[in-house]
Amino acid sequence: MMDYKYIEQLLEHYWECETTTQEEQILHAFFSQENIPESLEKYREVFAANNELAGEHLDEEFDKRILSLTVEAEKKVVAKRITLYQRTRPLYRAAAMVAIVLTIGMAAQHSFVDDTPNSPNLWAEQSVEDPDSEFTQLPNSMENTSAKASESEQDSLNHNTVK
Amino acid sequence: MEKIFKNDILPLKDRLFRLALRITLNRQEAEDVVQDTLLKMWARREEWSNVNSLEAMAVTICRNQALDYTKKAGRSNMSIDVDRDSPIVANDPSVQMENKEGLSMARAMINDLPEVQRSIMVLREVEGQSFATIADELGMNESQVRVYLHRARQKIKKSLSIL
Repeated sequence: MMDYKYIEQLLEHYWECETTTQEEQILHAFFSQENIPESLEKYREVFAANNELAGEHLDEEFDKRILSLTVEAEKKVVAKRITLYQRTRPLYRAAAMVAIVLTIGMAAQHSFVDDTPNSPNLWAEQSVEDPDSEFTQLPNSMENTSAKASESEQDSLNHNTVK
Repeated sequence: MEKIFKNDILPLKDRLFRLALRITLNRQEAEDVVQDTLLKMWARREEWSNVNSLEAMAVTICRNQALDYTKKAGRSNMSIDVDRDSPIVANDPSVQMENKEGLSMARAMINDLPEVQRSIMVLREVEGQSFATIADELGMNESQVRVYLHRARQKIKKSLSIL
């Protein structure tokens, strides 16, 4: 009975908010017992409700999820750090591909033009409007050049004579 | 940072979960609240060195998150968590039934309290924290904490005397 009086006193202090945390632990321990006097039975469930909540916890899967979203996510970001060269490597590859395609294209075009004599030669058409006239004009232009060279040679001799 | 998070902050998850559970009265929401809280703690890791108590910081964030959840859900003070099973205290089925009913009523009484009183009850009665720590965590002074806890206990005592 002494114990119960002590508990009753503690309870009075408890309702008045005058108990320490240690005294409250005593009350929680007392009311978690199976054999409690009838006069105190009605208080049991209040302490039991708090004891029940004290048993609530989150599992290890929760820890894993949190770590994957925080600490490990940070690590993944660090691991993904790459050099400037690595970052721009796709551009180099693309440029190389373009160069290869252009080279092959040019080569194909040349061989296409050379191998088919009947096909129109676009470059030739653009540079020479009438190939025949060009060939006929060629001897004349050579003659003109020769005449101009002779004139300049004669001038040079005259100049030396005057001196 | 990683060590502090793993050793000092992540182990707070169960305490935070119990607090969130008392506020939201819903297990899934409480788990989401704790997850959000821990992610926020990690996001604000630059502030860790400037705070007196990481636990107080986490509790403050957790309480605010839980209040946001209840506001979004449109319920600031629900009465009882009906989805949850009560623990079995005795083997006798009739005693089990009585315990379940009693525990449900006790839970209902606690859950009917205003949020601030419920939060203080968890921190004091389930976590066994001092008035000074609770005051620090909830951003109030010790006298206010005592007053709120006194009101909560008096209300429960009154409800029990009516039964």
